[in-house]
Amino acid sequence: MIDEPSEQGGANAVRVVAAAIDCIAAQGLRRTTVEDIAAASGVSRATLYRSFPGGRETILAAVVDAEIARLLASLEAVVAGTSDLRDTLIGGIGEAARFVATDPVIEQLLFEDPAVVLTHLEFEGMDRTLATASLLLQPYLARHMDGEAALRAGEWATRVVLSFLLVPDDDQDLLDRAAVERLVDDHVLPGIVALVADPVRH
Amino acid sequence: MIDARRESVRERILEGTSRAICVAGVRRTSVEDVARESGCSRATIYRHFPGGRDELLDALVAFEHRRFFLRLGAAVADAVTLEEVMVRGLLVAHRALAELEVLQIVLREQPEVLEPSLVRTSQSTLELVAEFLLPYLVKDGLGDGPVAQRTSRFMARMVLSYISAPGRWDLTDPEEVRRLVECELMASVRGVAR
Repeated sequence: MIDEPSEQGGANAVRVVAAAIDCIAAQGLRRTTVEDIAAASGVSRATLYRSFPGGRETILAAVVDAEIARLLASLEAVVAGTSDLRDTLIGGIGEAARFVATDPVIEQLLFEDPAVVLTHLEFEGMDRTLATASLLLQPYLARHMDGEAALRAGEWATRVVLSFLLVPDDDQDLLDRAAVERLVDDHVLPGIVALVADPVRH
Repeated sequence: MIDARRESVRERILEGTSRAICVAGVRRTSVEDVARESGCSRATIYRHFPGGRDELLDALVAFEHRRFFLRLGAAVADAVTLEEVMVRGLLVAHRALAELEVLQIVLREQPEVLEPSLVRTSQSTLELVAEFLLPYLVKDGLGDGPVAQRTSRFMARMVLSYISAPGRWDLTDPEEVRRLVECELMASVRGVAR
């Protein structure tokens, strides 16, 4: 068998992930099979398995990555319009909560098969998500502090959001603006202020 | 008495399972291997774990999880301040997790075994850590009402976050852990309106 050029392979992978997202949104996660995804993407099963040798599980992992990228893009759009650090944090955390609550695919992933998201986001997967998110948030936070502190501050805020996303709290509903403000004022902002003021940092 | 004996047999079987997996890997470990490693008969194993191999793996994950938190609890038991609890807790937890060879093997070879228990335990682990931290927050002057409760759950979230993913922080370095606790965790307790 002749291997396709990798560029073509990459394009196929993107089509498969987009088709998987459409299928999950339309018919739910449980009822989405590899056959459905192949049919919707217009690639053959053989080609699909060449891009995703692990089949359904690896496709779903790629869907989680794609959804995180979309979440980060919507976050960026919101924080870009803020100038005060407190507003940036409140806007960003609120937007993350809103995105998760209204995105049909994330809802399916979290409530129909939370294991896919959890195993993907725990340990190495979570380190990767933290690194990506803190790089993306850095320019917005760096308006208020130096670059190194901005990376750590972005990571800190991302940890808070991920934690509430993975284990929701009835007492702190992040769709409620007052709850987000309290969270930021009580915990998130003080953690960042102390980090910026830390004399050990160089 | 009977319960205690039952527990110790279960424990022996699970410790045998853990050893067998460390030697041969998850896929190549059979109930026979577990029987040999634990010194129990196959019949005994099936009496305690009627679901066989699958149930053994499930129970092993829960067992190691519990042992990990017992170890963590013992390491911080005599700490006096909240700061000390968190510094010691993070250092020990990070090291203990790295040393949990059997869970790393399961995670690598058969992650689907870990999935249900991760889902099941996330909420209860959070409550467990929060309950442990609460008296330190009360002593720190947060009162014993909803503010201390909420803060303890927030701290638990953050501690668990650092344990499962250190991010930019080097959790093998006590100085760096001290800085992390001082700048982020302690600062986010002090920020709470009193």
